[in-house]
Amino acid sequence: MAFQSTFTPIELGDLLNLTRAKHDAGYRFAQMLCAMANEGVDLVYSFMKQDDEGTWQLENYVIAGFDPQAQTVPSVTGYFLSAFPFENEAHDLFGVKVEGNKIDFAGRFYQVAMDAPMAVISPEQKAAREKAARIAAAKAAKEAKAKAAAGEAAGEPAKSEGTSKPAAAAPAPIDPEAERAAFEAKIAGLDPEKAERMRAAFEVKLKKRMEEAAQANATTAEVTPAPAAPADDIEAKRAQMEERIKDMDPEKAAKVRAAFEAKVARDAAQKGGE
Amino acid sequence: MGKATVIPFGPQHPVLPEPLHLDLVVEDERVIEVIPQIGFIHRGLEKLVEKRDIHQFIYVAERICGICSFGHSMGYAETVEDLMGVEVPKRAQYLRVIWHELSRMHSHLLWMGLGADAFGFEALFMHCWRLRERILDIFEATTGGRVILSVVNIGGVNRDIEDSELYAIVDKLEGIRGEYREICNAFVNDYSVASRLVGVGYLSQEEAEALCMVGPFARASNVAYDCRMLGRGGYGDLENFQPILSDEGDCYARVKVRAAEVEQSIDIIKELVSKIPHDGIGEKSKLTPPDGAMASNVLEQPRGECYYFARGNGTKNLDRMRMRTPTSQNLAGMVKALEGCELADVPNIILTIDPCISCCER
Repeated sequence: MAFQSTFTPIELGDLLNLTRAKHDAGYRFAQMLCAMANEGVDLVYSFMKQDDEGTWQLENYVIAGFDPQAQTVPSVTGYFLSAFPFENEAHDLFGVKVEGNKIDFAGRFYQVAMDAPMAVISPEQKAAREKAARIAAAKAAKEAKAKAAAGEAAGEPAKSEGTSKPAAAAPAPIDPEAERAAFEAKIAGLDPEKAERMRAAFEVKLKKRMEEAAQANATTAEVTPAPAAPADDIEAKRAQMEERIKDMDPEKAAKVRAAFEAKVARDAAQKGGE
Repeated sequence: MGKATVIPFGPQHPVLPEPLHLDLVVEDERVIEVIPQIGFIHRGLEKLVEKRDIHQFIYVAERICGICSFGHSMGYAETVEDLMGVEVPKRAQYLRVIWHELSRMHSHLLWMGLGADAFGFEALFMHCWRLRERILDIFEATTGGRVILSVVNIGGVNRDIEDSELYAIVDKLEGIRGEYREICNAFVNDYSVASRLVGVGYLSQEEAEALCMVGPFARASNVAYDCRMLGRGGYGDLENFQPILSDEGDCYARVKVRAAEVEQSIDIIKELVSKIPHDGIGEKSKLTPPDGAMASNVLEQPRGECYYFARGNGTKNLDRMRMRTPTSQNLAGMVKALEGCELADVPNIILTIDPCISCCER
């Protein structure tokens, strides 16, 4: 005997007709579940039966993007009474309004401290979805680039105008608050200790980037030739380095410091030689 | 006809192993309506899938329930493997089935003990649990754990069992079989047990099918459905698997079905040990669930069919993991079986569905 599971999208309006058809065809109601989507909630109804060839078919029907605030889902307990725990669960945990549930607990089936706890999109889930979207976008861009390159190789002009990266544009202004918020969302699911370490590294990096951006803006605005390279201003450099390594592991910081001192000594020796 | 009275039953009650509340509407000594309520131990484990990656969640999945913990880790791993298209070596599949059948044996023995205690046969309860300890010893010897085994990973299992050890397990189970038959004799041939259970909580085949019941509860009403016959994983290589059925539909039939399933589990383990291949135990998969991919799966837990659903979002965390446990599917059947019974029979009927409320709420 074999087993097969399938997923089929349906519309909310077709649910009762489908359930009636499955009931009349002798299907067993396996379950109903909710899953948070980017917009609204996805409802999945599952029915099971052995087909004529002996294969057990687990058929899942998905109603995508159901809006719990504005819409109501009809109850299937008229056909399958065993759906009552799932419909009460959908109401209590996801805030899905079910109409006509034969055993309706009116929100008192699960004793939970808040309404619809599963409907909350946690920062971890949001970050995961954003990451997945970024990965998908990067993949699509890579594919498009590969396609364009292939087209170019075949003698066709690549249609990449407008999407090409502006080569020597001035660096975009950095908004530290926005960057910090994006970073916090990214590390939301991590172990607190690790998150703390990453946050420290991020702050150092952000500071460096802002300094660089400020420097670049100054050079582009004033058209000053190469910064005055304060080669002799060793103390300022040392302070900058100390600032950079203050959150580092002490052992590593000591190494960085030693390397800096060695460089200073080397530069001094070189200068003396000239 | 007397006046209708509502008797609250549970969530704290000597006969209940887990918190379930029932409002029993009775007239004299007869129950005319039952309103169940759960939700006292909801832990939000399904939500935790957003914070734990697919490999870490195995350890959460097996903590859903203290009795069928291995089954949950196996069902979860199989579903995620389906989602990512991971091939599991045959030996790992066989080992999973062996541990799962051992879990079924210890779960049924636990339930038989609780059932015996509920109908007032305390010596039988102690014998069942004594035998169950021997199964837990096998778990301890093969995995290091007695309840939470942590041996499944996505792609295979973490530990192998040597062939010599497998044969020793089969010998041990044959020894257990002899002692088990003696205990079973008391369950199926003792008139005092029969007087408490025969004809109690009757549910016909039509009712069981209409209420979509699962597990030994349904098979005691002659519904020929057992997920093991779907032939998933190691179960696909069994020579001739037939679900154990009874057409009597009462509490006594449910006891008999479970009693026979313990011996059936020993036979399954024996058969699989005799033909276990040597193609490795697999290793932890390094794949990531694809964005938007969905998978569903069913597994026969000791209490019946458990449905698993997983949806990926392109990262190492799943977007949604759902476990529909057998007890939530059987609640409607329990309500039906309780209607019209005597008040004194309520504990026996509740116990014969083998309710697992921890599983039910997660």
